[in-house]
Amino acid sequence: MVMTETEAPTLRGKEPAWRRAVPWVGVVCRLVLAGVWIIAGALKLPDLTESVRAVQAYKLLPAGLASAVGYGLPPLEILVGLLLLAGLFTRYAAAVSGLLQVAFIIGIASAWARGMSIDCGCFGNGGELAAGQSPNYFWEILRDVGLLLASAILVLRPRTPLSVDRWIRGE
Amino acid sequence: MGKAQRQRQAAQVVRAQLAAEQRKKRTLIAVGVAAAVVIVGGAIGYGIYQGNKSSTVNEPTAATVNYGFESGEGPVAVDLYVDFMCPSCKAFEEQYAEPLQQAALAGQITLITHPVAILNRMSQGTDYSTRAGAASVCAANEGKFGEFSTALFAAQPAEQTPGLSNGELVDVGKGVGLGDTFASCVNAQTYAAWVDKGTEVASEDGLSGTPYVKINGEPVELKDFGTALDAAINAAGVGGVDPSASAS
Repeated sequence: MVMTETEAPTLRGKEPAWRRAVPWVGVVCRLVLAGVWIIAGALKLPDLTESVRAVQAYKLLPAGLASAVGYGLPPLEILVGLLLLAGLFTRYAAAVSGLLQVAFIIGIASAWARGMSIDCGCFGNGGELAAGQSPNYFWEILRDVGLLLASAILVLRPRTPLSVDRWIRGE
Repeated sequence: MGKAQRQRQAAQVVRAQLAAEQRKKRTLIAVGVAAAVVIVGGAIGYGIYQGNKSSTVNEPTAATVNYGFESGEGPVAVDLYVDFMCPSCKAFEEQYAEPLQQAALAGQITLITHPVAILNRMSQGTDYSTRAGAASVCAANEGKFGEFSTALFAAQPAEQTPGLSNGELVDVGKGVGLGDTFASCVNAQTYAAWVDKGTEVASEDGLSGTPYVKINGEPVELKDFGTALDAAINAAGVGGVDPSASAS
């Protein structure tokens, strides 16, 4: 057992600081995403018909489907947010989070491409813009790409400190 | 394989099984807690949602068509959805209210105006869109929807302000000859739930912003409205008596 002599120092304690910080990147991703989802969902929840209108403003989905998405999206957002906050089923919650971001990016990009002037509806606005406001599609997409990235990190590395997942595994 | 090694392996298997069982148990606990949170939260959320939705929808005494008020009996159906808080509705009103009224009087069109409330978030929590819409229903009950609506647009508050109070709405009504019945109707907000219900129906029907106009059931872009209206009137064969020419 001569090898342990060279391996032992690389175990705990002597790891470089950045290496020990890596798992906490996942925690930050979780908390940021959780905050965004819970706020986005909670703002839409009190007025679901407004949420339906926001979905319809994109003119991408047929009326029936748009209603279903408009009513269903806010509860789903809150659920994903709570799961990420607790760190329960992190990989699956992050996957749903990422898929939603992809859908939003497609929606905003297509509204941009079609020259439509709508609010993204992201945080509980009813789709249409007030007079004099111009849409900020670029920043909306950039933000969603950032959130997509955070989701992707969690899909790839779902094991993070301070999570229910970790308690389940008994670590 | 030595005895000691076998024992070590057996112990490892047992430990792995115990760990697996603990994982299973803890997964069940976590799922149970999560499900309980979802169910309780969902119930509370649904309760709040139902509570927010004003309970009884009072039907106006005036005749209504699909949560709107009719004027004229012409062959061309023009559906107009307005929110009294919406600046472009005001602009539309200023541009088209007169020609539309004339076309309705001349028997060319049937104008159906739907008061909707989609900009309640623009009035700092006073729900001006709903209150103004409900007041317009009170006016409609006394046959003065058109006059009141014009007066209300003229008095339109800026977005991100509380808007007109109920008392001020009553004053606007007085300006077009509405009296005490109207006042108590506005103050009681008798038709607030009706306006919200109409907004919900319109939203599910494709309304995503105001003003929203349909000619013979087909949504029309605002910039094309004038030409589309003329075309529809001509197609209906009632273009001969065109008093709206002066206004275009």
